[in-house]
Amino acid sequence: MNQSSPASLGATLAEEELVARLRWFIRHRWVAAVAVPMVAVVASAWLHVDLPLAAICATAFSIVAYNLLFCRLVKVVEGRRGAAGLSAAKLLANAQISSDLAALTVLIHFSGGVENPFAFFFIFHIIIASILLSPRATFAQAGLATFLFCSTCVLEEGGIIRHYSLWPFLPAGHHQRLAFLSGNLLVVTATLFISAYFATSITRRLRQREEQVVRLSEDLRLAYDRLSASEHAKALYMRKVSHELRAPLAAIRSTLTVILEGFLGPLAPKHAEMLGRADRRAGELLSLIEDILVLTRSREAPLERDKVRLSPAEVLDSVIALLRPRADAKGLTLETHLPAESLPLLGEPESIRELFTNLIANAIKYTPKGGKASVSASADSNFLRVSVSDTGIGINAEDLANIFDEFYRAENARQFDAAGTGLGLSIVKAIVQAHGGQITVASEPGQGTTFEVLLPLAASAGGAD
Amino acid sequence: MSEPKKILVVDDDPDIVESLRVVLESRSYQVLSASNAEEAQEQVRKERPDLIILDIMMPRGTEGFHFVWNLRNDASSGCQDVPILVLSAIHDTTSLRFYPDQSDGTYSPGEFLPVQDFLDKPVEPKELLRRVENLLRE
Repeated sequence: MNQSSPASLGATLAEEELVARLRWFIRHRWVAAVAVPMVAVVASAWLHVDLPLAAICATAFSIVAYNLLFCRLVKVVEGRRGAAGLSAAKLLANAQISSDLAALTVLIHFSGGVENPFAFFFIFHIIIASILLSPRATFAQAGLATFLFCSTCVLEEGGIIRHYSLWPFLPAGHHQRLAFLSGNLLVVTATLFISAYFATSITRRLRQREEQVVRLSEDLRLAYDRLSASEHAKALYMRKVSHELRAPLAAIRSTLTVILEGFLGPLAPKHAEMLGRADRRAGELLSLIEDILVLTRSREAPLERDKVRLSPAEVLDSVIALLRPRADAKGLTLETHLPAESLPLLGEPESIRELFTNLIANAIKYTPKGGKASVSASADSNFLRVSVSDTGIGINAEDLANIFDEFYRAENARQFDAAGTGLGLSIVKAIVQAHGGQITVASEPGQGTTFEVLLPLAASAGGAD
Repeated sequence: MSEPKKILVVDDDPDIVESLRVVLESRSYQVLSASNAEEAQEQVRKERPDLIILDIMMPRGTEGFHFVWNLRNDASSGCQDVPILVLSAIHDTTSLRFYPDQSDGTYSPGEFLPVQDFLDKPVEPKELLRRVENLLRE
């Protein structure tokens, strides 16, 4: 039971919030303490009422005094944690409201008692009580206000304490007219209790809503955690499976190659052909597994420790250098327009290389002999924009929406070149997304295709190493 | 006639070992084999090979890593500087950074494996022979 359950967490939160509101309450009391003497002075001058200004100022002064005390006490309460802190904060809230009710009663007594319309200011404290305190405490404060106000008025009526008349603002003697007195007390009392009722029922509703939101966001967080854990487990599993599949395939291919390359003596042409078929199929399977492995890895956002500052131009240069022989072999022109300098790209080097390798290799692969492929890059202060275009076979409109799907290969691509796993563009998209970028494609069948990649660049200042 | 060069093949996959043996013996290298790091260490002490061809992913996880670091840190074997060619099904050298996650103090994470060359599985016989010749010439 000593564990910090969500309930006790809620209590601590409520305490922090309560303390914040107590401070807000204290700040506003300074305003009241200053306003009271000012209003009294203005009222006596303007309405020609003879108010006991010294007594009113003394009361304002005592408000300042107890507000200073509350200032200290709030700091003490803040130091306490848990349930003790919460009940101390509630006690302090109660004390503040009760003190204010008493001060307001004294002020009203010095300025006409039952005749003073400021009696309705009690409502403010009831509303504040409903926000800070439980409904029961709010009604108790409403009861206290009623008691203080009514007893003061009754004592004034009976002549036991002095009545300060508001003459000439009001005709004298009102405070002893029974109908006025009882009517006024009744209305003030009813107003206080009705406002307590409304304010508490509204705040209760709001609190319930708030608790619901807290519960929901907690549920949401748990669900999210579960989801990412299962995603991670899935990726780990895929990686294991791929490695397990690779090992026997690698052995098969090694064995076949050794025979095919004549290390065991010359082969009859038919033997060589059949073994060659087996070797090609094993090769297909191997590249499929490799692509699945890369795709799985690409889907996970790169770990911070694996992120490196990369120069876009250098990465593209090295990728293009590796692929240029393929373009040359097909008699393709491979044009490049790279920025000499730009901000670094923050990413996982192997993935970034994989991304551009796939795009540029595709451009070369799907462009007929004599065509052209071009890579151009530009950078502003936020983004690197790389576009890879070709004069190749293009992508039909109905295929465009699907080309990033796993294992999807457009019919014309399949016919143009049988080899391919249909995972290359899925890998490209996964890498772009894992690095917070975007990719778009535009194509004209028979004319060519342009892929455009947008990747966020690292901020220029400050190093994240 | 000069003594044939000795090559130690360390791999837990007997089929890979066999393929390598056929390829290497075709060039008259003497081929020794070991299926785990322990066996390999024994062979190194006994036979003092001129070159080691090592598979990095052996049964006990990253056994190959430890083997390399042990060999390089052990002056008593007399084979501290024997060239190593890493053969692996790990797609590329950077995705798995060639250091195990748990650091046991003999090396610091991030330090690259002190080996001379890498080759991907499946084995391309001609490429393998070219690399082997290069390493043995040095």
